[in-house]
Amino acid sequence: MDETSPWRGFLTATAAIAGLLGFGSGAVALVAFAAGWALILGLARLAAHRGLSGLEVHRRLPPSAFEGDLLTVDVVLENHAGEVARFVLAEDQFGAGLADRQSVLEPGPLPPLHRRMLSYRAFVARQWGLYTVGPLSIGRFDPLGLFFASRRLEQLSPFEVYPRAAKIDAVALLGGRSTLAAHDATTAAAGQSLIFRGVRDFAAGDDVRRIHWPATARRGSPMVRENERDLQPVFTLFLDLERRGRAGLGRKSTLEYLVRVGASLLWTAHRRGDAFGLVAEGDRPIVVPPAQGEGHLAAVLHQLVIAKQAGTRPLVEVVERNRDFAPPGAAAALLFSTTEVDLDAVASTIGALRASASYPFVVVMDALAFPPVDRPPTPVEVARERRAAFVDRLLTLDVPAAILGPADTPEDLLVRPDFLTLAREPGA
Amino acid sequence: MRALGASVLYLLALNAVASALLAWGETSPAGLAGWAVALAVALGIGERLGEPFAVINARHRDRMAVFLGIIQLSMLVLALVLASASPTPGLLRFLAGVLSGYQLVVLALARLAPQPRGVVGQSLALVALACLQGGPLAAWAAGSTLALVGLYVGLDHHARLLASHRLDDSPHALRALFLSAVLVLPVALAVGLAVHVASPEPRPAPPTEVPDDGYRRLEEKPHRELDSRALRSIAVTGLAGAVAVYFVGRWIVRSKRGEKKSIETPEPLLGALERIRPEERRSRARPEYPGRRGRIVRAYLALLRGAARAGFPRGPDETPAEFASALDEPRVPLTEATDVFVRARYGPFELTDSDVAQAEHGVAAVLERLERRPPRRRQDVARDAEDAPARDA
Repeated sequence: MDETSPWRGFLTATAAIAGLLGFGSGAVALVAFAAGWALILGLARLAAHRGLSGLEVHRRLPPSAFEGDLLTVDVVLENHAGEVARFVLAEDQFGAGLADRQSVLEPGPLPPLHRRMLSYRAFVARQWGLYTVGPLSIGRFDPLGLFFASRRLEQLSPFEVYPRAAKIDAVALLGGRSTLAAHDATTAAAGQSLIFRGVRDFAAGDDVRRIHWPATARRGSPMVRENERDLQPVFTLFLDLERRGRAGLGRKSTLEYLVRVGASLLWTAHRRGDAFGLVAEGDRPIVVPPAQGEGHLAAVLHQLVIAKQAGTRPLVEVVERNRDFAPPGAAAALLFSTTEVDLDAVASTIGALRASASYPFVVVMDALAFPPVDRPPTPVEVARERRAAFVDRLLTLDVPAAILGPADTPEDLLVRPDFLTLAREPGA
Repeated sequence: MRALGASVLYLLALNAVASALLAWGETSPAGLAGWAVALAVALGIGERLGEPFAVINARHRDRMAVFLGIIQLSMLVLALVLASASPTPGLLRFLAGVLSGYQLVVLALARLAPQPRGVVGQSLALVALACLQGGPLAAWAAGSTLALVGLYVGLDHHARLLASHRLDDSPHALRALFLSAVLVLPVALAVGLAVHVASPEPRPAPPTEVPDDGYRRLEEKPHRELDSRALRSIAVTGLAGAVAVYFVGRWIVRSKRGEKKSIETPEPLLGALERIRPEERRSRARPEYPGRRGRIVRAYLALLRGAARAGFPRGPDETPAEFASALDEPRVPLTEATDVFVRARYGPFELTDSDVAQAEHGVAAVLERLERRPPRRRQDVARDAEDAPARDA
């Protein structure tokens, strides 16, 4: 609602004219009418400000959301003043939405030392990235709505928007294991499975629930049980953030494609119950070891949305340096930002991953087909040759793969069951 | 709230018409009743026309409202300038009749614009005519109009505020009326009283014009109530002013066109009201217990206060049982009161009236004993005091 009253200017002007007429004609009633209106204006202004300092407001919202989500933001209004509060407005700015402000009204009565939780719903309309929510302000009109007094509370909260993730069924069909094989369900290392491994001395930090009392009684010092560690599917995403792969602008850029595909791959792994991790090297190394859970997914997606294509190290080198994060049995996704890579090195890396019993697959962005941003355009023939050579090599290696160009829409391609089935292009 | 607002608007229009006609016309009660009915019918038509008006394109509707508003404004400016320049009874009677009639048209078109400023402006012009006469009627007109305008503005504001937040306004109508009345009515009353005191009598009517049948030269024109040249200049000035107002308004509207507006409608979900917990208050407050539990706790607190007055305060880290064993006497009522208090303060079970009686009697007995025979000094306090110099040494 507009904070400027539609009546204030009109009635003030009218009262002023009445006052002038009164002075001109000697009509006391008209002068008194104008004076009365001026008094009402003064009282209304005081009424709007009264008791505002005793009102507090807080916001509760999740720290992140996906594009297109509908969020409910709670606004907690507290009355610490000594009088009942009525018709209080709390206004907030949700940076990831399109509306410039959100307003909630507490019509009251809100008794002293009481709180009321209000909420507004906001649509995450902006693209993935970092945004802020706030500042929050609290305000009140006077009873006639002539004046609006507000108090601004600098409650700024960071808010992350993640790209909308799609479930990639093609990954599940390619050996990313959704269930555990019977013979290697556990490994002979200390962990949390139900299989008993042995007893050892108590060490600082051990859970007291794990104390083995018979052994403790026999040894005379605390002993704890040890169980074997569960094996679980692991998914590692190796992301190419080399500067050479920068191309395109806005929604049609290689970074946009990399982030969208990467988010969908990680989301799919999370939904399958895999432990998932992220390895990349942009302006700084990004290494998130494989783990599980919503919190871990948020941490990985956070790294993804703040990533910059400012690296100098090719992806194959990054994979070589961090191959430990793709343990035996893990699925390893190699996300290249360009076709302009050393194909022999790519073949060597894929071979090494296979040798360590990992399941590699490749997704490539055809950066040369995107509009260039920091270098002269590549001739179309050269770009096609590069792409064809990459496709040939991947087919030779018989590795699941996909190549995305500016004409492709990641959201549509990712959900197709044949997403990772590469084929030679006609005429290539 | 809309019905309440319409009622106040009707009262405002009726009050203005009645004031103006009573001040300058010779209106009978039957005539006033006729005006009341006519105004009610006009307002009814205006309310019914709201829906057909809503169908019209907003831009066209705004243009129509601005056009009609300019005509009305021109007419009011002309009328008021004429009235204040030459306030003869005949002219004022004529203006009161014309403006009252025009009030019917304005009421019928009240819903053409989002706010019925036309009705309010027309009413204020009629009231201004009434105020020119002075006396009790002017006092009533000024005070009552101020009150009714304030009430209407308050109701209109609350209706718009609640509608913009998609809240039902019916539960809040009376509260909005009350809040507006608290602000406006005292001022309106003060204005009415002040006018009544300052101008208790109406203005004397100008002497009746006696036709002069005496000798007059042929080139001398007879004197008229208002010179036609002055009337013409006033009309031209008024129209020029109206055109200027139109263009200034148009410029203001266009300059505001680029301002950002909310495109998402807020959807407040009304949550439950809850009390702020005592520990969250700025000053720490004791928890309150209702019913029997509260009576027992209050009785025990009285015991603690009595013991403190008698020089035996409870230590901050002392439990009720430790305090009872330290105070020791009178043992039986003290133990009973302590036991009941512990059950009331920390136990989950319901308490009976006999528990309350036991606690209160026990506390009364302890207090009586403390008054009769003050307790001995606390051993631990004495020991600490005695040990302190030894430790220092």
